This record gives sequence, structure tokens and C-alpha cells, in this order.
Amino acid sequence: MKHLKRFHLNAAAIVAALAFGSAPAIADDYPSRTVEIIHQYGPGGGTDRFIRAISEPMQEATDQSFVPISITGGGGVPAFVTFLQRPANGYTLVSISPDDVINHALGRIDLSMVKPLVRIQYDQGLLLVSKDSPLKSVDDILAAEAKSPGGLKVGVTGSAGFDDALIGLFNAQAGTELATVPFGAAEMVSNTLGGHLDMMYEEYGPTRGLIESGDLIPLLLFSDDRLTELPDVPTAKELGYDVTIGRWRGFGIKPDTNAADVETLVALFRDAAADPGYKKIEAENALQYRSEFIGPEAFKTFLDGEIATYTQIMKQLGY
Amino acid sequence: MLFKLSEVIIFAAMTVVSIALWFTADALPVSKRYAQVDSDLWPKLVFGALAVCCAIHFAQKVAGLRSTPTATEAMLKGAAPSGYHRRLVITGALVLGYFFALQYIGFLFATLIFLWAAAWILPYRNIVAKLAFAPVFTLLLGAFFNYGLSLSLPRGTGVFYDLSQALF
Amino acid sequence: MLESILSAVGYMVGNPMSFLLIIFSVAWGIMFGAVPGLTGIVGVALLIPFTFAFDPIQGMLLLGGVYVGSTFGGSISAILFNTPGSPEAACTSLDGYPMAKRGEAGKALGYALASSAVGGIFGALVLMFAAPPLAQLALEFGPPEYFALAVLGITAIASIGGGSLVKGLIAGLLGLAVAMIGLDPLTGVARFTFGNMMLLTGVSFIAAIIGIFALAEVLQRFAEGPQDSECLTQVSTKLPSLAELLATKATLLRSSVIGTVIGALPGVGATTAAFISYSEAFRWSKTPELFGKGAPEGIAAPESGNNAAVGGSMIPLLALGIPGSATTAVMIGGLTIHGIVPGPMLMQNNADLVYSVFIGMLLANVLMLVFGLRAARLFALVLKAPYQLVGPAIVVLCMTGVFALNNNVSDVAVMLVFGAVGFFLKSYGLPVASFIIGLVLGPIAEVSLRQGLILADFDMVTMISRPIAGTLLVLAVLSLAYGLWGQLRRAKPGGPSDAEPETT
Repeated sequence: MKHLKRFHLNAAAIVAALAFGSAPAIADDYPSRTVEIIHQYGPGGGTDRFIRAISEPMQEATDQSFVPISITGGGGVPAFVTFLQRPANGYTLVSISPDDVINHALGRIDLSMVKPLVRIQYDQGLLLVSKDSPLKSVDDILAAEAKSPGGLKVGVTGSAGFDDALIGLFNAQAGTELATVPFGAAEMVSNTLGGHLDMMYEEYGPTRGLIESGDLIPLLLFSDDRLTELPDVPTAKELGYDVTIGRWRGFGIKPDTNAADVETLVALFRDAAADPGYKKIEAENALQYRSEFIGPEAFKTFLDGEIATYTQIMKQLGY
Repeated sequence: MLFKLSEVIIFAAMTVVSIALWFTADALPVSKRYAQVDSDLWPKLVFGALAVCCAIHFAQKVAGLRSTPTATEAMLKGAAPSGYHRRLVITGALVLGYFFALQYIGFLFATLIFLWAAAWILPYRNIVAKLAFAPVFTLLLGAFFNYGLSLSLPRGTGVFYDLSQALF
Repeated sequence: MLESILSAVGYMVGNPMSFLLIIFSVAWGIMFGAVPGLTGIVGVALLIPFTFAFDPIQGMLLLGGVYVGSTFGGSISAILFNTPGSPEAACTSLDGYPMAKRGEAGKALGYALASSAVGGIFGALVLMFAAPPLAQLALEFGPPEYFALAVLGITAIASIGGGSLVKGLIAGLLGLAVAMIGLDPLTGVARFTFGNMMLLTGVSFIAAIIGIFALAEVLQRFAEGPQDSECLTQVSTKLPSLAELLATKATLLRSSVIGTVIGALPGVGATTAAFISYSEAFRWSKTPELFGKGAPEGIAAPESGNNAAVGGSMIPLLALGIPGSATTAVMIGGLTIHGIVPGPMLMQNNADLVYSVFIGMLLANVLMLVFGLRAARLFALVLKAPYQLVGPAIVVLCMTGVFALNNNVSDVAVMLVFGAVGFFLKSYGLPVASFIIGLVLGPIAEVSLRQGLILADFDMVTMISRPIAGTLLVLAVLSLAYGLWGQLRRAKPGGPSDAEPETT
């Protein structure tokens, strides 16, 4: 009887494995409870939604929840500190993004204390203005800046983070002095729509609804190629400013986590990233262009490269 | 009198601490980009005002030291019944003990012991209720968090961790 | 629009399941609100995976119901045990608990419930009929306006404790000071953390208020000894009469308006709405001396304010696709997973969904009132239990709730420290109300002041000479002057009010 039961279980596992491509989580019972993914952004923000979207196929595959834990404020340091305080049992992941690389470059956190797991998304950002704004194109921005340098205020999220670095890089290339003002993501949008801010920097996904309704007008895209969704928006590159850095999203785990569990997780993430349901959400946010799934080794190499890049950018900016 | 004296000391200390924290704010790292609205702007406003207010109150209290206590002050002083400080210290110590016990021996045992111990601070006739309440409440709450909300509770360390693990 | 409403009503009638969902979600929300430490955000987040099983409308009904329920739920534990179950209920403790302690727990719960329902229904109606214009109004609020709003609330600290001006100021400034702990939101510099990594996030507000209210109260009652617990054997479960409820109608209306507008502003939510409603109720009251001692208005104001903010915070969500509060931000996540793009087109593209949410929120409030009034009488009976057993149980509940919120022991430590802070404030007659107002509004005031100055090129005059900001600041100055004048007038006959004992 007992044998029969086990046989059924195995059969079920094999069916599940066939259904989901490779064979995750058969060897042991990991994960046997909720896995928490700590991130430093607000609930409902881009990263929070990304984690919810990617975890849906993973929940189906494992019957366990993968929940985002939002620990906001403090430029992301508290989220990272909270992660470091968790045990290395495979049930706590941390989201890694350029903001963490910048924190590392500024000496606020130490990224060598986290093992890079997977990188999944690679986004591209936009400079957006309200539909009532007198700024209609990049030329208007340059003209306004030429008249009174530093007069234009750009809303960004986070302090001394990725958005700041990108605007700083653009300033250095275009000879402008756009001033960044840190806001919460929701307040940044309402302040731009209300005309309190001249522009804002944000990715396409969170602003898609407002772009489609015509309330927000994208003026400039920071990527290698134009987006199919926004064929009229020029890239910074084609205007002669080499600013293509984008926000990417990946995960890290405690370095001394059980290797088998790490493998299980990587397989789970790989399948989830290829899941049609997730792919659809990715496409809705115009994330499919630069996103590419990479595993622990490739992510480590990529991360080291990013650390070098941002260390240089932050030094240029005078931090 | 003792209470009045402690008031004078407390508000004098708060004045000094506010001034010290004003200087702590002054020593904060300077940001080039936000020089005019730097990190120390608001703290300096708050601690400056706090120092002034505490100093004023301190002066008021010193002036009031010599006067005879008014009716309300007498009431405040007389409000402490016998055994007040003893019970305060015991309760505080028990709560602190519970906090540390939670981390080492886990939710189940810490709560059980704490509830039993705390029930004896105040006199209460019904011994059966005292004994029965602790295990019933502990189990109900533990079950509610674990199964109802699927949120984890402290499980303690070492041997207690395994024990808690086995029980849930 | 009428068509949409009718078709939404048709949907609800055609799907009896929806009613069950609303009842379940409201009850679930009340539970999350009432357990100290757990909040509506956790309640909503935990339910999101379950919404996959339903269609988007039912999913939103579920989340909306939890939001409505949790905003009221916090007041139950606030009134019965002086333990605000969620941040937005902190104000309700100030008057709800003294009223319950008098033996009128049923009345206090009744006031809270009725005010919650009035505020909630008001917010939902505004959401239904005036969302687009109110969303436009919310857009007029830039950093200078946020600053002015926070200042208007903060000016109440001077007078709200009922005691002396200096004591109120000291308590409020202490609250402002505590709120500064952590990384500076603009420059990312660590302030007043003294090298402690866990303080970088700042002091957890929910842990702090639970410590200040609940722990300090248990400590005090245990220290005071047995005589106090005798008087609570006379627990009345009598609910307030309709006439008594109607007596607070001015407060209810004012707080509902304040709550809806503040809820509609992104970044500030039910907690701020409750505090500003409370301080305005105090300012406009004919009997301000009763505040903190169980004044019905002191319960009606925060409860109608924070529940109106629920409807209010859905306004920018549905009209613009930007969340008005942390809970609605989580709800946006729920929407996008169903493939719905939140934004200005939502009202046109998904009118069925939007209007079902409106109707659902109205229903949730009505159902809460109907079932809640019965339940309130039962809850009030809890006070008949001996405090010798209830006191330690409150401590256990607070510790586990605060721990479970973030699985974080340092939050529990913060709660313990603030238990001592609360005890200190009480012992030296510093008003707790002022302290927590400083704690809530301090960060808003600071950040918006600095953002506003950057936007105005560091010109204070440009910053505050804007219509809304200017009006609010003038109101703040006037009400401060009025409060001072009132205090001087009251102080004359009774000698120096400085010697008044504190009851909060």
C-alpha cells in the first residue's frame, strides 16, 4: 500500500515535470513553505509587480507561495540589511538591481555578501512630461536648459540611486544641469501630472496607462533601439548621447545556501521566465526587448561589469 | 517632593540632550547637490525648538520647587499606591524576560510560562482560571497564526527549535 | 453612468457569490485590523493569490472588502484594550479607551462602527460620483501643499493634550525628533541611528504606537494594583442611541470630507486622515476639555476620517492608475495580474469592474454596520474578563503580532522601548496625542518642505504663496492663535493650567 502511494506520488511528480519542462523540486521537499523575496521598492511598484508576476508560475509548480516583502526607505540599505539578517535556508531571496550596485559602489552595502542567482528582466526608461507641458521635444529641454541652467526639475524615485545616476550621465553628455528631486513613485506621477515637476523618469510598464490615455508624453527613450510600442520616441543614442543604461531585475541568495536548493530555484526561475502567462505580462510592459534569462555564473560576470560601470559613473558625478 | 525633583532633573537632561543632538545634526555629512536643504535643516529646527521648550519648562519647574504643592499635584503624587514600584519592576522584568525567552525557547513555551507567571502579579481568586487560561490561550493563538494566517512565530533555537518544529 | 451603475447592480444580483465574498472579505479585514501589528496591507497581500481563482470583478470586491474591514477593525482592539490594531486606529484609542474604561464599551464601539460606516459610505459615494474632479484636485497638491497640510495638523500639538502649551510642544517635538531616526529620504544620509543598522529604516510606526498605548497601559494598570480592575465589572453593552449619534453629525461630515480629500492624495492615507480629522474635531469642538477623556467626537472624528480615506484613496487609483495609499498599491498589483492596465482609461474600458467596485464598497460598509452592531455587543463583553489574565494576554498578542508583521525581532524591541516611552510620557504629564501627531506628520512635513524648496529654487516666499498652500497655512496660523487665546481664557479662572493632570 505504502509503495503504491509512493508510486503515485512519483508519477505525479513526473507528470508535473513534463508539464513544466525540466524537473524542479523532485529530489527533496524544498520549497516546503513560503519563500520571501525582499525588495526595497514600494508595494505595487515595478519590482513588486515583477515578483508577483514571476512567482505565479512558480507557485503553480511548487504549491508554495513566493511573496515580495517590501522594505522601503533608506535608499535600499534597510532591505539589504534585513536580508543579511535572515538565515541561509533558501527561504529568503533578495531582489538585486542597479540601485544595489550603486549602493555597493558608494560603500553603503557589500554585494559580495550575496550570491547572484538569476537575472530576468532588463528594462528601458523614459523621460516623460505632462500633456500640458511647454516642453514638446528634447530640443525644448536643451533650449530651456541653455536659457537657465538647472531650471528644469526631474522627478525621480530613490535618493542617490539608479535614476539619479542616469540623469547625471545624461547631464554629462548633453551639457544640461537637470536637477533631480526624489519622490515616492505615486507622488512623482501626481506631481508631474499636476505640473509641479517639469519631467519625470520612469519605465514604460508603470506609466503605460497614462501614456495610452495621452496624459503623459514620453520625450526620450534610454535604450539601444526604439520601442515598437512607441515608434515616435527617439532614443538618446540616436540623438548622440550614449546613455543606454537600464534597470534590470534579478535575485540573490545567501552564499552558504544548500547547493541543491539553489539549483532547484534556478530551474524554477528559468521555467517561470519562459511561462506563457509571464511572457504576456512581460510583453504588456514592453520588457521583452532587452530581457534575457541568465543563470548564476553569467549573472555574476554581468554584475561585476555593472559594478565597474557604476563605480565610474558615480565617481564622475562627484559622489 | 521626590517627584518634583525628578521632574527638574528630567527636563534639565532633556535640554542638554536636545542641544547635544543639535550639534550631532550639525556634524552630519554634507551633500553637495542639496546643500540648501541638507539633512541637517529639519533636525536643527526641531532640536532647537525642543531645547528652548525644555529649558522654559525646566525654569518653570525650578520656580515651582519652593511653592507648596497644589491640589492636583498632591493627587499626582498620592496616586502611587503601596507596592506600585515593586509591581512596576516585576511586570517590566517579566515582559523583558518574555521578549528574550521568545527568541531562545520559542513562542509556545515562552508564552505559557509568561502567562502563568504574570497571572500571579495581581491577586485573583480563581486559581483554576489562572492555570487553565495560559495553555488554552497559547494554543489558540499559536494555531491562529500558524494555520489561520500561515504566519510563522518565533521557534527558538537549538533543541527548542526542533521541538517547536515537531509541534507545528 | 447610470447605465453602468445599473449594469453593475445587475452583475451583483446575478452573482450571489459576490455577497458571500464581500461578507468573507470584510470579516477577514476586520480580523487583520483588530490583531495588533497585522494591518490591512498584509490582509490584502495575503489574499492576492486567491484572486487568481476569481474573475477580476470578484477579485477587486474581495480586496476592497478587506480594505474596508481592516480600517474599522483596528478600532476594536483600540477601544477595548488601548491597543491600536492598525496605525489608522491610533487616534481612536485616545477617546475610545477612556470611554470603555468608564464601562461604556458598547457605546464606544457603536460610535466607532457607525462613524466608520458613515465615513466609508461618504467616501464610496464621492468615489462614485466625483472621482475625476477630485483626482484633478489631488493633482493640485504639490510639495508646498503637503507641507501646509502637515503644518496645519502639527499646530494642534500645542493645544491638544488639554494641559499646558509647553508640555504639548515638548511632546510633539519629541514625536518629530523620533520620526527623524533613519536614513534621510532625500540624501540617503543616516541620521541619529548611532551605528545601529536596524534603525536605518527608522522607527516602525505600528510597533511604536502599540508600545506607547498598549504596553504602557498594561504596565501602569499592573503597577497600580488590583483596585482599578474592580470597576470594570460594570460593563454596559448598550449602543449609542440615534440621537447621540446625530449629535456628532457636524464632526462626522467634516471628518468625512477631510478623510476623502486626504485619502485622494498619493502618499498620505488613512492614518494621516485620522489624525487631521481628530485635531480639527478638537479645534472646532465646543467642549475641547472632554477630549482624551472619552468624548464621542473623539471617536467619531478619526473613525469617519480614516474610513472615508478608503474611498478617497481609490480615487487616484481608478481615475489615474496611481495608488493613493500603500494598500491600494498592493491592489494595483492584483489588477495587473489580471491583465488590466490601471490608468485613466480604466473607467471607460472596464466600466463594469469600476462600478462593481463602487457598489461593492457601499455594500461592504452597510454589511459591516449590520453585522458589526451585533458583534460589538459581544466584543464589549470581553471587558468582563479579569484584567489579571487579559493584561498578559495583551502583551503576548502585541509581541506576536508585531513579530509576525516582518518576522523581525528588532520591531519587537522598538515596541518595548516605546512602552517605556509611553510610560514616561504619562508619568510626566506629556500628552501622548501630541507625541504621535508629531510622529505621523513629521516625515511628511520635512520631506515636502525640502522638495518644495528645491522646486521653488530655495525661495520660501514663492513656495508658500500658492493658493491652496497659502490658505492652509493661514488657517494653521489662525487656529494656533485661536487655540492660544482659548487656553489663556480657560487658564484665568482655574489658575495655572500647567498643574492639570494628564489623562491621555
